[in-house]
Amino acid sequence: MDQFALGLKNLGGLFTYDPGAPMLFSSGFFWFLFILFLPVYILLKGSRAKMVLFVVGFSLYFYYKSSGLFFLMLMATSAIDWIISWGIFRERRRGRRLGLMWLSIAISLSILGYFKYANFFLWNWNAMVEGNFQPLDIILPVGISFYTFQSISYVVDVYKRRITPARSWFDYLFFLSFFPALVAGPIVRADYFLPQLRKNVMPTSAMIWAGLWLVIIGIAKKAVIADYIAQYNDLVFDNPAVYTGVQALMGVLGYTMQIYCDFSGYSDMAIGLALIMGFRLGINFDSPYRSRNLTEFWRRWHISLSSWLRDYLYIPLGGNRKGTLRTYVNNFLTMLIGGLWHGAAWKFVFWGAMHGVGLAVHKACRPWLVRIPDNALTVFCGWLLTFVYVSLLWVFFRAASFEDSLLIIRNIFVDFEWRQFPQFFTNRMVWCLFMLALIVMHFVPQRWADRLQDVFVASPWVVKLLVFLCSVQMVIEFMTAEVQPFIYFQF
Amino acid sequence: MKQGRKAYLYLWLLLAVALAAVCAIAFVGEVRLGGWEVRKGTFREVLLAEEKAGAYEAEEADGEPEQLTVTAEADSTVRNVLIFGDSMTILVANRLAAYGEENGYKVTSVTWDGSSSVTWSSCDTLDNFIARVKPDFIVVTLGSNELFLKNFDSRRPYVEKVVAKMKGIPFVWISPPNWKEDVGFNKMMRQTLPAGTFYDSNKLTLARGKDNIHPTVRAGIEWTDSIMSWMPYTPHPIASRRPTGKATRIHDAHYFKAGGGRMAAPPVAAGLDDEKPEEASEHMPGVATEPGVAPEHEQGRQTGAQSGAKLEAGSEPGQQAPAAEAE
Repeated sequence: MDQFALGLKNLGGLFTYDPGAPMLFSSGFFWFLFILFLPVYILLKGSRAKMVLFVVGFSLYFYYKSSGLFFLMLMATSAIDWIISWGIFRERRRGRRLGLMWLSIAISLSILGYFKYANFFLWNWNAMVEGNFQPLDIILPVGISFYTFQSISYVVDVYKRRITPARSWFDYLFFLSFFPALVAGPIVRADYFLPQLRKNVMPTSAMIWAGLWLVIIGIAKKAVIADYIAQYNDLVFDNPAVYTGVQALMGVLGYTMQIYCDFSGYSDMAIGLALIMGFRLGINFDSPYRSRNLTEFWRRWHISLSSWLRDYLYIPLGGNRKGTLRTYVNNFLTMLIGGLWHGAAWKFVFWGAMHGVGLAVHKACRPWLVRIPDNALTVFCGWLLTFVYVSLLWVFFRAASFEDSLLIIRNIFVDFEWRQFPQFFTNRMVWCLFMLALIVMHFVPQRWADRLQDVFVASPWVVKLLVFLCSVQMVIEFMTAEVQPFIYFQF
Repeated sequence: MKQGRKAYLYLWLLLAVALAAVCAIAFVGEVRLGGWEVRKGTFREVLLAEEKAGAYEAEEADGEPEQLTVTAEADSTVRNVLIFGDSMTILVANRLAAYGEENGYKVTSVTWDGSSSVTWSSCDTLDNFIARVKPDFIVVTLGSNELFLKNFDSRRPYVEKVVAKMKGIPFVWISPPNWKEDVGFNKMMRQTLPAGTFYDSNKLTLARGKDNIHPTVRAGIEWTDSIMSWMPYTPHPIASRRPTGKATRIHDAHYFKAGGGRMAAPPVAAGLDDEKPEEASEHMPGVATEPGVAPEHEQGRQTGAQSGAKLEAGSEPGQQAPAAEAE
């Protein structure tokens, strides 16, 4: 009885906010909550208003578990945006409509700027004026970068008359706080999502099981593969000075796959959960490491962000309509801001800038590139160049400092001995097998992956249960003692 | 619509049955599928976790319960803490780094797998790190590799020499977390070390990793929390406000493996061995802790706080990674 009472007490404690244990899709507690959520959702699905209220409540609770009382800020900013969106919609004068749009954007960016960039700005300012810098005690609300971009796209779309404002504040809050996408994307567009909310279609059996399949794939990518291979990668990136070139290279390759598995795994879970609920969020990753050039890479990697940057930054800056030089500048600036979006540190700015440079170089070289015949060798060379460039830039993204990044890259080129490979494989057999499996899976044709999904969807319930149980047990087998956050959680 | 609701019902059943199955496994005893032991989730640990508030109990050398009294205020001037020892070190160091973040001191960790009081007293590794790190406080995590020696008294001079090397810098010595009863080693340590500086980990019940020796990362957190709740009762305590966040980075962490590697440890003085086979009653079974790979027994990822580079035993051409050696 004592144990029962203790269990109940601890279970109750799980419902309160714990900054050291944010809510993650791969946690047992979320699984438990979802089991409670689902029957109520099914019962209310037929009544749109009640369903919206219930999901908004659950999403805000989900955000409370991730970020504490910042769910109130989310509610407040959503109310401001919604009111302004109706002001824009009703206003006839273009000047005032523009002013209202910029007011909403300024509010959203100010909040984001304060929480995410205030200390970065202060640090740099003090470095310039040699002042006595005291960092502000600011906690970054989880997912603020994602929902801020969502709210900006909503207001801009209302201004451009692509969409009408959400009929009720709760509809808009549903869109902004939708828990599958709230804390780490995908960045959902209002013109894509709000019509689905209005129709409130009951998902088909295929959608529901396809959603579960995506969740299983996401769990495998994030909680099994990414977390496991990270164990080695972290060692290399946190102490680069003491690793050989081969070890550093494998750490870099490992991180390249880790960040993909981590982020695409989370996206899969988010998209799968949304699909189970009857909502489509769109694809966010499309085998990006198959890309043959950097432009293609950014059409396959974090698609929701890259398309947002294209539509709400690159094109408003002029896109490719203002001449060649201006096109390169617009590209560069867009990627620079894209880098800064990832984090308040110069390393992210550098990372974005280098991607901007790469994109500009690719665009500049396109007239000559199209003349090169398309055969296996040229395809391979294009792929290799792109993969190496992207992987080397991930070093700057992950390493603790610029110096560490240069040290890792230097070690790869200067302290490299081929004969260390066999020893490396012998010492880390499981890690290497995981990496090999990842690389193979990345390059299987999409139709094979779709076929596997179809097989799962059509399989008997018992088979689905066994597959799910096996995936959960794999997570437990490879589990680290602490919950590992998603890499993009910090954004 | 009916098809959708039916699918929802089956989905809910699937999730509920799976959760029930995983929870049930977490609460029963050992579950085996053929020869493979099914690892359990942390549901039991999470649901039945008891608040550990200073769960420190120890006996004095004469068997009487240790009297804990606060003898000094926490030294708020401490800015650099050095923690060094054997393969248990990282399990304390991870969480200690979080205490450092919370309380304003930097933690540097040095791990030497397989080391003992003999190892550290016989070379200048400790002297070098003290000169480099300039610690205000030292935490020693040694003893696991000599815990079951029958002639444990023979280690007394080596322990004293390690203490002498610390040249008066305030320290605490954390006993190994016994995985079974020792024959008197811990008692000898308590008698040898200055009063109040020896933390007896023996009383804690810690979850172990796959080797059944090294605690899990989560158990390491509990272990460290218990150490830090004892800290105020030491002769020279450091600030020990419990952190609320996760463990963070240890600065300048280094790892040495005796006998080779890219950053070779200083040579052990001639004539001294870690373990004299004829005298050792039992030692910690060797685990081939291949450099760069978190050993199987380490449950947690070494995020944030690091034990430092684990050097490639076979990075020198022709060298073989030892299949098993005393840690």
